[in-house]
Amino acid sequence: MIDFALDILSWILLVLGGACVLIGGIGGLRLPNFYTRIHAASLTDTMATILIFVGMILQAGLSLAAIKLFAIMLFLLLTGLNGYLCVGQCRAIIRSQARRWKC
Amino acid sequence: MYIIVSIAILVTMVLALVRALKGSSVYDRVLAVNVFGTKTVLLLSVIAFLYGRPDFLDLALAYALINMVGILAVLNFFQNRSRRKSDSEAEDD
Amino acid sequence: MNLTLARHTFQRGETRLSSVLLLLLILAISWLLWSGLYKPLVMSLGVLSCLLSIYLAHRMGFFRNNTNLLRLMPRLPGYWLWLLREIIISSLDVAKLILKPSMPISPTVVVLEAEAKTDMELSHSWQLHYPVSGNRHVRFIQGESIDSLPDQ
Repeated sequence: MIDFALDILSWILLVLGGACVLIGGIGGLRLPNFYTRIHAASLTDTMATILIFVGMILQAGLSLAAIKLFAIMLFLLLTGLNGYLCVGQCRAIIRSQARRWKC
Repeated sequence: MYIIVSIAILVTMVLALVRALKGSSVYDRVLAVNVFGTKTVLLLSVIAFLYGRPDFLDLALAYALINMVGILAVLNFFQNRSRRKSDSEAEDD
Repeated sequence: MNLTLARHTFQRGETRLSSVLLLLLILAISWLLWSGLYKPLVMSLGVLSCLLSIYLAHRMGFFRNNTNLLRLMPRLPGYWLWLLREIIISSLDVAKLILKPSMPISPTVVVLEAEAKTDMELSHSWQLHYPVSGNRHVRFIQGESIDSLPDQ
């Protein structure tokens, strides 16, 4: 009974994660400028990553694979979001430098 | 059920590629490439479960780290290039 | 992002043996978990790579500022729970905005002043919390500036 409930829960999480990934991809195309696209990208990166990996951890149960999945989730959350932050800040820094030199 | 998730991830990767090809600035392209890289990690871990091959998780972990370093290297390159460019412009003035 | 400030805070303080040993323990455990092979060659390679990582971390000034890393560890799960709630709220907002055909946004960049009260807080927010709070920073812009600005 508990196994069945865990299965259902993990499938729901996985499908929700897939939906989040799709919405983020659509947002990356639809949104009008760079900073808004960062939001769409970070949506797929935080929410979808958490949902999909938690779903897979529930499927894996207590095993080495679950620990590995958790570690990958942690790394992905830290590195991916830092990547977006760096892209945004690099752009902001370069823009401000350009403005300073031009004016 | 894993197939649905992996198809969603693949579609998103295609959308990110479209954005990378269409992107109006360099940063849009870098952002799209970053999205592509993180989606690759997700896809690798989903595939590990889809085909029941846990070895793929190690590949996913390595890719997550390499992706980050690659993005930082590309950004560093662009930043240095723009700084050099603005320096030489300042010397010209 | 003030990099010179960060460099100053990184280069302060003494190297503590306990933090070196803690990092060695964490690295060894993760190596053992990942390799799963217990042959002498693989184990000696693991020991070598752990020592190399610790040497590199020492060269980067990693041990000189995290004197209170152990004391902050118990508060991390609570922070993560709070962060998870914020992530869910902002993700719902963004998903709703993306799926609306009319796209009712007026993007604006807002400058926020972030301040850390003590050195330790600053160094910790750089080293431990910075990756996560960087996420929160983006999230904050995401939650506040897009939604609370009036539609035009």
